[in-house]
Amino acid sequence: MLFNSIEFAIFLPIVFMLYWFGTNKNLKLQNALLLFSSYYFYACWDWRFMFLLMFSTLLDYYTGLKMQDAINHQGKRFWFWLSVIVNLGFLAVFKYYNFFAGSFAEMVAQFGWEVSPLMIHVILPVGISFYTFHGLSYVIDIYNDKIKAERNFVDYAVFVSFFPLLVAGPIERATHLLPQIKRARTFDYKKAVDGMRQILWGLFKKIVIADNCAEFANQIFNNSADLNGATLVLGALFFTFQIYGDFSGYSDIALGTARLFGIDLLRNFAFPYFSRDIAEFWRRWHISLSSWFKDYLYIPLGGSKGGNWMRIRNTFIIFIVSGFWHGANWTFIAWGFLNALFIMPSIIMKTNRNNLEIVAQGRLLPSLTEFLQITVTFSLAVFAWIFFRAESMSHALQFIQDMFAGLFSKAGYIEAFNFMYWKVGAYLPLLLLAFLIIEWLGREEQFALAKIGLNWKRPLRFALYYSIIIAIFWFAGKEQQFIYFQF
Amino acid sequence: MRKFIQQLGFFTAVFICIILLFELFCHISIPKISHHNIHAKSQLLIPQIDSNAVVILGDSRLEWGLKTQEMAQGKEHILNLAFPGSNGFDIIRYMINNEIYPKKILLGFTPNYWTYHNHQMDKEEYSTMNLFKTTIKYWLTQHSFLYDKTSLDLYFKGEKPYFIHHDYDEYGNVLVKERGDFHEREKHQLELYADLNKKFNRDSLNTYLNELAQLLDELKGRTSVYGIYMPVSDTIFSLEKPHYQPSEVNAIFENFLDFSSSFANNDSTIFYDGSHLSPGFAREFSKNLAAAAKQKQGGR
Repeated sequence: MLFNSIEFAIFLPIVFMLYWFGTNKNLKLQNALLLFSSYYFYACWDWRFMFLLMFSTLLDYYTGLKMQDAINHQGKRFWFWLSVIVNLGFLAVFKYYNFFAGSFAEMVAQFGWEVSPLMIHVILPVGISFYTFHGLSYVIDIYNDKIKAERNFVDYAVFVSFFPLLVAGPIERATHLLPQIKRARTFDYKKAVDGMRQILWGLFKKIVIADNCAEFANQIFNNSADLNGATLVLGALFFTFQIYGDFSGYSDIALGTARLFGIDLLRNFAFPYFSRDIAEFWRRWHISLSSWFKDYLYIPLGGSKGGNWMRIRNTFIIFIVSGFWHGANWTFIAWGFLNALFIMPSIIMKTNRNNLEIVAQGRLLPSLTEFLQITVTFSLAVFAWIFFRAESMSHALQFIQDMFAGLFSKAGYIEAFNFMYWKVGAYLPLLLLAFLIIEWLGREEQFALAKIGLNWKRPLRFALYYSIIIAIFWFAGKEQQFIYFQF
Repeated sequence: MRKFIQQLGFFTAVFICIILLFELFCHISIPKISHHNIHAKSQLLIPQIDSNAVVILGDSRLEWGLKTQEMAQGKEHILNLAFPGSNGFDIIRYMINNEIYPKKILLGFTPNYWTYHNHQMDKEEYSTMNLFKTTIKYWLTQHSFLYDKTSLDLYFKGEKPYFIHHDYDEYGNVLVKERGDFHEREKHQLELYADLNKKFNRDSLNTYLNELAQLLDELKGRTSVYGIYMPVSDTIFSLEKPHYQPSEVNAIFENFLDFSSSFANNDSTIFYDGSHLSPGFAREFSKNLAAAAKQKQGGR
């Protein structure tokens, strides 16, 4: 069940009404309803994998209790490692086994040995990387005595499988979400209206921006061998907006939906394309994953305490692992490695925490320096996305080679102009411009539409929302699937 | 909570009123184009295929030119599952994969069928929910200017729509109204087939024929398949004839009904545009075809 589907448009109001009216505001009933709805939501993808989700939930719940009740550290460690190994084992089997087996076969083939490894023909269970990380954060926090194990199974299961975040995050922490699940929730008008606005903006980002950009990004990436420099740059740019619209749009819908149920999820995006350096970009892009890796990998590895070399080593490790988390392909590893390279100067010069506040705070426009910094950072991000989108390393490298080779040819610009004129047309550039203006104006808020129009008179405010709704119907792109579901 | 529901209700009601006013205004001042929706049609008809069904497969020539009501004999349940630009392979594959074998299949043929992309109907999921969704979408395409903006686009560009109405009934029979006269429409068809002629590729045609033979082989003993070359005007047939070898087609189909040059004139009472039959003649032709197929029964 996609967030941008008719099924979800029917599902959400039903669950919302039952939640607030059918449970008599009884917390236990509300949580039971959330759990049931979440399992139903997941079963709509593939009911068979629901058992995997249930098993993973039960395992972490049980090992959490066992760790809590362990009489000595050895026992605690046993249950901790059992949970970590089984959780990562599932990921390894479903997501990475074929990659490792294939890569091994390719590697030994270099030495003249032919190996035909056994491949697993099974689809990747949707959301496995997300709910596995939920569970892992929970058991790690118990192991480190940061939280106590949850004794109520329903509450714990809601934490793992709450439907807005189940298939593509944000990756929640037990310390943040579990207390909200256990606390009595009353309907908050402001929060619900805010949630509706966030859902609306998320739908616009996904259906109008991402889905339309996807069409042209796909055309260019799928035919990159026949295209020239400037057109390939266009392809990378379209993908840059596609992935942002797609994933941040999903996150906005998830956060907005959770607010309707009185629950605040972790923020996942904070206008990353307005960042002034790569370090800032990574504080604003997929925040829940970046902070997960920071807390559960970077800091346990020693963080930045051990001097420059340790900082460099640990930075490379978390970026490469983060890239690998996205998918079992060398392109994702290269994408992570490239981002580590980009961030390295600021790590070495210790300027990575220079830009903590949003750009041009309290001002309408950025300064020239800020504008140049944003442009450079954006260009680096666009370049790195080529690896993320490419089918293989050879595809990515060929794409980049053709892009730079044709960048100074007149024919390439004529081809790019023709592509824009005949295929893309005027709608999409205008929509992107409007989108960027709204995002810029709303950059100091939680999401772009959070405050825009709030002080306007009602007819004008309604007109703004109606325009967005009409734009969603009018300019809907063809793509439907969310990119991050494959992770 | 009450305030939230009231506000949401008010917001939605005002929105619906604005949309209705917009739609009303457009319906009064702009002609609405109705598009064909192949997915809504397939969702409606494919689940109806059973062992008593007669299924028409192929391209728009069969979709327009065969009228199921005129063809029905006895209790036969005839479904017109021909689609524009379809060679029918996807639906045959769907039937084989799901072991649903109809009584008869009437399968279209022209030497251009190798150029057609099948619509991947065998990959679709046929469910009540999908039928509901596609039916709603189809209804919106037919009636809503906001949902289907082609009418407005063409109106503002000052272009007359080529198709003004393209609908189908419960058996998949297509009802089409177009702008222009016979010659204007035929010109479009001639351009289309002249372009296909330029791209002609013998190897691809052979690949298509081999795949056709394989599929028919899988249906052997389970379903009677009749190949049909629909009538076309002499100008259109002159473009197809150089690539058409009746002997190789006859070798593949057990029963092949060739009407390619049966009505070789450019009569606008027979043809709508040289490639498709006119609605009136389609009814007459459908009766003749049913009789011819019956006669063929027990043939080669």
